[in-house]
This record gives sequence, structure tokens and C-alpha cells, in this order.
Amino acid sequence: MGKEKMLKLLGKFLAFMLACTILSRSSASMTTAVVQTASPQRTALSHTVSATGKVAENRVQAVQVEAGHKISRISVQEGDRVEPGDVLLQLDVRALDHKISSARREIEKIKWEIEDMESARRIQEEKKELLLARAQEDYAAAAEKGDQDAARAADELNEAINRLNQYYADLNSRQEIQGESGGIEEQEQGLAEAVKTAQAAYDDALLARQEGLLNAQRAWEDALAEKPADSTDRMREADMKEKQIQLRKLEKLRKKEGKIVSPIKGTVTKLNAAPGESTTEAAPVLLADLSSGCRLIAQVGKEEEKYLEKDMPVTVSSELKKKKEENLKIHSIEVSAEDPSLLEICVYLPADLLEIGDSAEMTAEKKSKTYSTCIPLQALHEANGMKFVYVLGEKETVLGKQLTAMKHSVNVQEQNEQYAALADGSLAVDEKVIQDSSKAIDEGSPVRLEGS
Amino acid sequence: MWKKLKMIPLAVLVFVCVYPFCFLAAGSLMGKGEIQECLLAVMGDAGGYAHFPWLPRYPTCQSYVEILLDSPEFFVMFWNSVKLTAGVLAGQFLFGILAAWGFAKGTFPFRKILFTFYILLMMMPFQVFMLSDYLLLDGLHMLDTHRGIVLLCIFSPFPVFIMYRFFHQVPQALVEAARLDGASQWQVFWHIGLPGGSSGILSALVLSFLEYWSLLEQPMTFLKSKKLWPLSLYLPNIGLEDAQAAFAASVIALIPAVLVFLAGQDYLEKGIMAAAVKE
Repeated sequence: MGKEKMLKLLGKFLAFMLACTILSRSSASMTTAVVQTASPQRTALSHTVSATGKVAENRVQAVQVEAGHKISRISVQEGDRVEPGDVLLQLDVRALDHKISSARREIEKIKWEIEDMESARRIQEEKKELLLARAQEDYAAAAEKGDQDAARAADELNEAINRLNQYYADLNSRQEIQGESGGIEEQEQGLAEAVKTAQAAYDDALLARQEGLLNAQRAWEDALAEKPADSTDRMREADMKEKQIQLRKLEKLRKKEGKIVSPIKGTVTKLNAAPGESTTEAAPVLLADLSSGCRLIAQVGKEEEKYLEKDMPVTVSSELKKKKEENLKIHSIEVSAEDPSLLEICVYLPADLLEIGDSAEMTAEKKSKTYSTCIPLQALHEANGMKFVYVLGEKETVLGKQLTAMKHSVNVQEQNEQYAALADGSLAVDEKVIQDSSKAIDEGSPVRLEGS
Repeated sequence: MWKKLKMIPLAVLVFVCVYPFCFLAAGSLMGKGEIQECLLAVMGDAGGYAHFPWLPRYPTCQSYVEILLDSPEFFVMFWNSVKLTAGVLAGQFLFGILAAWGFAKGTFPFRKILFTFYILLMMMPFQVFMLSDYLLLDGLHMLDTHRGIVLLCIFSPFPVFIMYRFFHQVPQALVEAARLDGASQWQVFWHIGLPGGSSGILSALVLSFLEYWSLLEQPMTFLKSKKLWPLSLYLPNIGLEDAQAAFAASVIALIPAVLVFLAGQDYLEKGIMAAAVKE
């Protein structure tokens, strides 16, 4: 090949290299990550906790109706707002009338029963008094009879003794005179026997007296004995009182023509009744009391607990209702009973702000202390549990001074949705952290500043 | 037959000489994985010997694409090399020719002694002048600039020596005749010296090109900024990860040298012969 051809080839080669130079530069500029940087700044981090919740009643009032009343009509539905005096239920008036007359009859019956019992008690008492009087009389009679029998027996005994003594006296005198003794012994024996018999009769009379007195005294004591307590009449009286109360209630209901009305301004939250059925022990209507305001119950993750505290100001807003209220306070923070990983935040709302069942958003903001090195959160990266940022560095390369990304481990003290606060001295004041990059970058990756 | 037999040792010699180029060309067409596998023994910590196949298992032009389209730093160095080589050659063309003409046909006192000293400088290796060159460039505030390198290389004695041989062969009678005819020094140089020594000038320039295209010590010593480095410093900065790029870069770096060599082959031979012939 000729020299000229070689030189031409050399020229072409240089032209080709020039073209490739331009191409490779364009390619490099396209592949180099374009980054946005930010300088660390001194600021306090604000933590905003937002949660959507439902408005619930502050207090629920049960509208109680006696069990067993037949419901003819229900005038409200769940969710209805009611004013004091609004009819909630209509009871069956005929059934009510029937109940009233039944109650009256019952009362009448009980009244009669009580009167009967009163009369029986009176008779019983009279009988008892009579028995007592008779026992007293029997006792006195027994004592008198005993005394008479004893006195008579004593007289007979004395007479027998006197006769015997008389005999002995007679006998002594006769013996002195006659000295005879036959036939005398038989008389003495008879007299002694008489004394003995009289003595026995006297003893019997005393015994009989004592026994008669004892019997009479027992009968008296029996008459005096208390009868067992009997509360039947009192119970019946109590029954009657109860029936009377029931009757008054029924009459009161009847007077209202069987209408059950709302006692408060509220919202019907639950209906436990159906037309045609009878009322039960459970309250047929539950009302949310609107006069005492309502509350917003919102749930947040437990990890937000550190940013929330009781009485801290919150803002409650509802986009749907276009309402917003600031400076409300957190009333309570409790662990959710349904899910222990959640917290239930309760905020009391003023009356008429929102209605029960409305959805609303609660926003609470807590400011931290001021940190000297705060960087945008998107500048913070994490790998293998280590947090780091990419700072903008300069490297001497063949292409001249080239901006590069340099990995810098950091210690994050606190962070919110926007910023991360780093430990003092983590970054120099003039260092710039890469907060956004058009491509994935790594340690030493060449980068280009946006707009350069 | 005898002639053919004589060719065998020559063919072996040619093969030995050409083998590195084949090696380079094959390497430049290998994929990253394949080349790493071949070179791991010497460039990694695996130990043992590197092996190199004649042909790549999975030929690919990926290395060339990477070098040509995705390595702007390669081109910075390439153009740095071009700039340095062109600057040095231009300088040598300007000052070396005049110096060589002066030494060959000049009539000033101590010409021969001066020339001998000058040629003596050619014998000195780079390390001898490294410190003085450094201090000189520092004094001239030319450290870490291409100008500094060019300045040092412009006054290299070797091309002067080559050109001197060619100018010296210009017949003295011809020069004398011209002077008698009233030609000035400049006219003698322009009309007799330059045409007579043109092949020497070209051979000196070709030799210089080949030398300065692969200039290593001076840039390594006097250039701190990487952006000023010539291509010869690109390859030492490539590791095992970019070995395939090194092969492709070497092939590309070889192309201008080969083209210049082929273009100036005749002059090159003459120049080498001139340097070899005793005065």
C-alpha cells in the first residue's frame, strides 16, 4: 500500500476517533446519574400523626318500656335523629286496656284476700283470749277444789286421831278401874286403822290438789303460748302495692295513648323491637345522646404512641362535610381491644360539628427539639441494617474533576415523613447530601448536578 | 529448495514476533468472563500460570464497543497522546532540522566537540535528567502541563543525530557551489539542505512518532492531573475487572503506530541504517 494511502487511512482513523469521542461523551452524559443535592439544615422535626376514624356517641341512653307490651307500630329507624317528645314506638292500646283491667281485678282480689285474712286473725285472737280466761278459771277452780278436799281430809284425819286419843284416854281410865284388856284391842285396831285411812285420804287430797293445779297451770300456759308468725297478709299487701304501681304505670301509658316518646335529642342507634312483637326486658330503643356532643374514635399504629399524648391539640376535619375544627384535645389513648397492635384515640367533639357515623380525619402534630443536622428523608438509605447517605464528592479523574457519590454512614436520631435528624457531627456543614438521583447510584458512582 | 529451508527459521522468528499481536487481537475479542478466567492466575490471587487460547471461545466486539462508545476517558488520553506527539514532532521539525543542519554544514568553532557532547546527551537515560528537568519545569511553571513535556522532548538529540547523518551526506561541493553563486545560508538550507535531507527528516519524524506515541516516563513524572495523561498511562491503570478493555485499547492504540510505520517504512529503514553506519 502506498504512503499516501496510509496517511489517508491515518486521517480517517483520527476522524473516526473524533466521532467516537463525541459519541462516548454523549453516552457518558446520558448514563451519568443526574442528582439533586441538599445541605444539612438546623431544624426541629414535626411528627404528624393522621388517622381516619368514625364519629361515635358520647353517651347512649336506653328508652325502657315494661316487658310484655305489644308493639303496634315503630315510628323510627336506626340512624334517625329524634327530638325530645318524638314518638318512637306505639303500643297496642287495646292490649293496654286489657292489662289495666286485669291489674285492677288483681288488686281487687288481693284486697279481698287481705280483708279475709284480717277477719280470720281477729277471730283467732278472740278465741285465744277466751281460752286464756278459761284456763285462769280452771286454775282457780282446781285450787279451790284441792283446798276443800285437803281441808276435808285433814278434818277427817284430825277426827280419827282425836277418836284414837279419846280411846286411849278412855282405855287408861278403864284399866285403872277394871283391869280388863280383852275386846279393847279390837277397838284400838279399828281406830288406828281409821287414823291411817284418814291420813292416806289426806295425802291423796293434797296430791290431787297439786296435780289439779299443775294441769290447770299447763292449760293456762298453753293458752298464753305465742302462735307461729304468719306473713301471708303482709306479702299480699306488698303484692297489692306492686300491682298498684304497675297499674299506675299502665294508666300513665294509657293516658299517653300508648306512645313511647324520645326523652332526649339524639340519634337512634339500635332498635330491639318489631311491630306485632311484645317488648322484652331489653330496651327496645337505644338513643345516642346528642346533647352531650360526640367523639371521634380513630385508630393508629402503636409505633405512633411516642408522638401522641393526652390533651395534646388535634385538628379534626371532614372533607365530605367540609368541616374543620382545630385545637380539640385528645381525651384518651388506649390500646385497641380488637387489635393490640393499634391504639384507639378518642377526641371529644363539640355538639353539631359532625354526626354520629360520619367519617373524619384527625391530625396531631408534635415538634421535636431542634437538631443541627437534618437532611431530607429521601437522602437517607439503609442496607443491612446500616443507615447511610450519599454525599457529593469530587474525584480527580482522566476526565478532569468529576463529581462522585460517596457513601457516608450516619446515626439517625429521629425522623419524620420529611426529614431525618442525624447525630451532631455526622456531616460537615458544607457537605451536600444527594437527595434525588435519576439513576441508581453506588459508592464512587459519577454524578452530575441537575441543571449543570 | 535450500531457499525454502532457509525460510523455516525466519518463519519461526516471524511467528515469535507476531505472536504478541495475535495474543492481543484474540484477547480484544474475548468476553469479560473468558479473559478473567485466562488471566486470573497472574492478575488475581489464584497463583499458577496464565493460559491464553489462540482464538476466543465466544468472540465478541463488546470490548471495542465499550472502549469506543462508553469510555470517554480513553479518548481524553488518546487525544492527549495525539497532542503530545504532534507537539513534539512539530517542535523537533522546527528546531531539530536547524540544529542538525548546523551541526552537519555549519562553520562555527567547536562544532565537532559540541556535536559530540550533544550526542553524548542522547546516551544518557531519562533518569539522569529527571531531577534537573523537574526543577526546570518547576521554574518555568510548566509542571503538570503538556507544554512542559513537549518542551523537554523537542530538544531530544536523537532526531538531530539521525538528520545530521542525512544532511552530512549532502555533497559539500554542492553547498559550496551555491554559496559561490551568491546563495545565502537560508537559501542553501532551503534549496539544497531540505531536499537532500528530506528522507532523514521523515525517518527521524517516524522514529520520533513511534517513540513519543508510547511516551511513559515523562508523563508519569511530570503530569499529576489525570486529565493530562496520554494513552500510554491508560493501560497501567486497568485491573482484572477491565482486562478485556485493556486489550481493545491496546489494539486501538496500535493502529496509528502501524499506519505511521507503514507510511514511513522506507524512511524508517533508512534512518535506522543511517544511525547504524559509522561516520
